Amino acid sequence: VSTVPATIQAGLSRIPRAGAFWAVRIASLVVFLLLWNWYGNQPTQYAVAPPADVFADLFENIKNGVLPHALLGTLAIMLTGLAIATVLGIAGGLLIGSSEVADNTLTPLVNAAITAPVTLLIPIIGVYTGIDFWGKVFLVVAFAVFVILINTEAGVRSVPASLIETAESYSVTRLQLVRHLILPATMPYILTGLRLGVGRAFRGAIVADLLLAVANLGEILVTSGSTFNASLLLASILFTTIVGVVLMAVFSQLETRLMPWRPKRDV
Amino acid sequence: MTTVDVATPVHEDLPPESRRKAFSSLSRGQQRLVVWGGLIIAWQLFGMAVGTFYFASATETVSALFSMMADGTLSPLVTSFRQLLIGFALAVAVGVPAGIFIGSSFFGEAALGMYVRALFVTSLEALLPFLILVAGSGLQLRVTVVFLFAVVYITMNTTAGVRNVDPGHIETARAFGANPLQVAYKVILWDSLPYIFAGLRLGFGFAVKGMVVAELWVTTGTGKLLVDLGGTRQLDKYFAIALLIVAVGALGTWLIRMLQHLVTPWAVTTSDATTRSRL
Repeated sequence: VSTVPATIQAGLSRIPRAGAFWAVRIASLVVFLLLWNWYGNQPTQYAVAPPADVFADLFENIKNGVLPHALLGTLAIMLTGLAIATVLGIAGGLLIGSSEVADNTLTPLVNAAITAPVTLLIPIIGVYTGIDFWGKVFLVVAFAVFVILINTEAGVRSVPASLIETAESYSVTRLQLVRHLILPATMPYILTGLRLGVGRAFRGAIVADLLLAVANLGEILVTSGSTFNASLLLASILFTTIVGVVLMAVFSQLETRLMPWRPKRDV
Repeated sequence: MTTVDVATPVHEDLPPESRRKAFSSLSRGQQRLVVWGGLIIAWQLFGMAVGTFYFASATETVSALFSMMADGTLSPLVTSFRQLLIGFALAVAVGVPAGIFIGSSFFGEAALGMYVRALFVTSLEALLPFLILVAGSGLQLRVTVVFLFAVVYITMNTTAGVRNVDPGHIETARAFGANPLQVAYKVILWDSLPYIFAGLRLGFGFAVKGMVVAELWVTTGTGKLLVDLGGTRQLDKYFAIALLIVAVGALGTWLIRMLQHLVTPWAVTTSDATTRSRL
């Protein structure tokens, strides 16, 4: 069986299929918006505002600077926490990835920490760091550090043993080995960890702004909710989601720019 | 020759290098015993040094756990865990069929795939002020939050599993005259089970996270207990409950793993499944 006809056939069938795919997708979106609009206009409920109001509020509050200003506060917390989590995560990942003893003893603790609900810290974090900026940064670090750590660790493990042996046969020091071989070889994994960490860190910052001390984006969410301003509430949720997507896209772009030889992946 | 034999007894005057070698020659269990024991001792000493009011020690935490078990302080946790199970069961009941639909049907991906991905990238906690308007602050809210936290991962993993099903298996089933429902049930479901189980484990972890965040948000049940204990700095009780919740999360994940050993003994991890289908 020749492969050429199969390829052509696949190519031909793909064109109407892609069209049908987008038709279904757009139809699904239209149905969603219509349902939302129908439900939002029901006089018996107050929780859901119709889409037109929500989008109007979204643009209005971006234009007058309310949402962007609140976002800056949340981003300051997030980026500080992410920077700390990156340093700690890379250091921890290098340690666990390169030392068998550390792997034996610390990996179960890291696994437990990943599944543990970080929000359990919220009622007592104030005792140690206060509930303002540094308390929030602490929470962000706790949200983001482990995903960076396990990715770094996986990266260290992926370094071919033959390369390490070659380097060792040239009697490099441990520091040189890490600096010139392990870190560059691990970089793609670290960047993947960073991309996942960005999502987690943003989530952590939102949680901190909602539950630790209400401020920034959290304040808009809470006040619009408690004053039953349904359209502003949905608009700020939408805004939060969009910012999350943009942040992940920026770091994913960074990943492909810095590591052009890596295949592009979804999610 | 100055090389240190593994059998050489460790003396204080040995260079640090050989002492490290001696430690790494211990078995994994012994290493864990030393390091974890050391951590617990450090926790105990730190707690004793700074006092319960700042950081409860290990012994205080354990005795608080037993006294709370005896006097019924822990009863809100039972209610919370029941809601956790309801929300998680709903997430499984919705997530697995949805994942199969999205993964196996072109129509499913086109119509529903984007909503699952939207939920995946949304900081679900940002929905809390909205959900409280829709679902109130009672049982419904907490079940909804647990459901939302868990369902995303269950659906996405099921979708990934379905997409990794060996097309040869499906073709074979079709060649033997299986109808689409039979293909879905007898081939796709079984072939993607390792992924589904991975999704269940992830989802359960997130369900526990959802339970905690929902109860802290409306300060009821366990959440109220935690906020009260934290506010009055009864850190021994606080640590005990926090550790108990973490332990329940770990136990649930472990139980799902055991179930997986029973149901899909051929593939305990998703990488087992992929390697198998590549063979």
